[in-house]
Amino acid sequence: MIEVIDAQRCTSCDICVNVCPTNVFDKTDGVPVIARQNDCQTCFLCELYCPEDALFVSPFADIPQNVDLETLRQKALLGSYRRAVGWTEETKDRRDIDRSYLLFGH
Amino acid sequence: MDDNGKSQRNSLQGPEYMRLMRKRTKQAGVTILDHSPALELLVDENGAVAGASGVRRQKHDRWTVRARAVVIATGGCAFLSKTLGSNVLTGDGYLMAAEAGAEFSSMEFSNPYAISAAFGSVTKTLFYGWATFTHEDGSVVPGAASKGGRSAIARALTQGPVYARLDKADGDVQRQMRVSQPNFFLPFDRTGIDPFADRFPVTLRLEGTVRGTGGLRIVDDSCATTVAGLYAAGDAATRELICGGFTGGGSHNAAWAMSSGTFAGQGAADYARHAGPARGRRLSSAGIVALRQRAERPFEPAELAKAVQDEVFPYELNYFREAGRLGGSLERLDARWTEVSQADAAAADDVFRARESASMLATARWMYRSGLARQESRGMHRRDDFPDQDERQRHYITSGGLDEVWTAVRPHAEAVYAEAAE
Repeated sequence: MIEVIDAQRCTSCDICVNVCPTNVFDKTDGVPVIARQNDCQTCFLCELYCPEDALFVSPFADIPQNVDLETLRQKALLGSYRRAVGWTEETKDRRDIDRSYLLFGH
Repeated sequence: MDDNGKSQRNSLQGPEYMRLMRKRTKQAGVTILDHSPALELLVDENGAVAGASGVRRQKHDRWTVRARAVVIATGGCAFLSKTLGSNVLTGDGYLMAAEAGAEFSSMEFSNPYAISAAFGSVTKTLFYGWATFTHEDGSVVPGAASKGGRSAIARALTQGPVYARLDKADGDVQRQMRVSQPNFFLPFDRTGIDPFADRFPVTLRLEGTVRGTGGLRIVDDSCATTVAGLYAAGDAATRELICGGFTGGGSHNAAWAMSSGTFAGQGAADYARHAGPARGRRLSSAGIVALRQRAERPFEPAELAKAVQDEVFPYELNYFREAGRLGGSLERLDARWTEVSQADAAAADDVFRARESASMLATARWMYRSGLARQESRGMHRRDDFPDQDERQRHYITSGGLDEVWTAVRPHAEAVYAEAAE
């Protein structure tokens, strides 16, 4: 589930508040807050839409985890899903390399 | 189509797909209310559906839309199981439609489970086709497979933990998996697991009618339900018409979402054109549970959702069904329904959760009553007490009702045609 918003990176654009399907975040005057962490369904969409790579969703769907922001930054885990899917300028060539239909023999 | 008019075909990942659909919808001039779940339908003096109302969660107020026709496209019900992206699919549209008098079909086909890492939400079962499944002691789970052997995994999970390792994927397949489905690897990359080399614990998460084939009964090619002015599309509608008692992943369900959405939209528009003006009718709210003041006991959504999950998640109740166990579940679920229907209206901040949990409860009751009525094993519906398919039961099971849940048998379309030909 969503664990952290990096306040250093966040520009308060509120995209995460708008895209989260289960309404986990609340807007504030500044950085949004994770208001309903228990409602997080671990779908990773907020990470995908964050233009600043300021969010981190832990893969543990049922149990909150302690995460260390500095470690996440060092290991380049912030934004790793967005890069893998091709939703960054540097990786946009990946958007159309999905060849699942070959893998599944369709 | 590309610039030369030649069709281009490729696989498309979920997020791309959703972004594209949203863009197309907006371009078509549709107003989208995000975070604004519908709570109930509005009906006119004749019981025809004439609009809907709901809440805007981020604005803390209500919305109401008067309309000449409504399409229910709220998805199926996966009971908040966290199977990937499904916690917004709690059967709300079923409850709304049932309150207006709609019927359901094939609700016994409601028990597929998807494989994921035990701790995670990424239920991408197809990649487990390259997996070996083992018990705690490292011995192979006999008969276990992603396809055609998932029940062996479920049985093993009732005894203890089950582990997977994708050791049948060679280097080339591994590379293709990575670029094709990046989110499959998130739970592994973020926990330091190499899924091709390391054993990791797996679980099965219930997908309910999201990947089941039951849903609102459709009566014609316009995706009309049994209620005037009400149409159904996507996973909210039964998929019995395209795939009977079993379905796959994106292919069938995505194709059905597109096609049924088109049919239902056209059907609703045609109906609206002939239904006369939307203004001037006396409308009433069809919603009952959690919406009416009853001054009995308070409504506790989280507690109710948990109670329903306790009846539909266990493999021994839902994966492997049997008359005695289904009957026991139904007694408990029916008692809950009696409680809920006497409970007070939910508080404003809670009403959406209350409706969600009541929808899960109603869905479980249609599922298990239909499951009892189908005394055979067919498609995803397995009965321990009727392990074989029975050709005499090649029919549909209709269900409905809220205080009293009922089922009935409808002949299969082919049988109707055969009779007409005689």
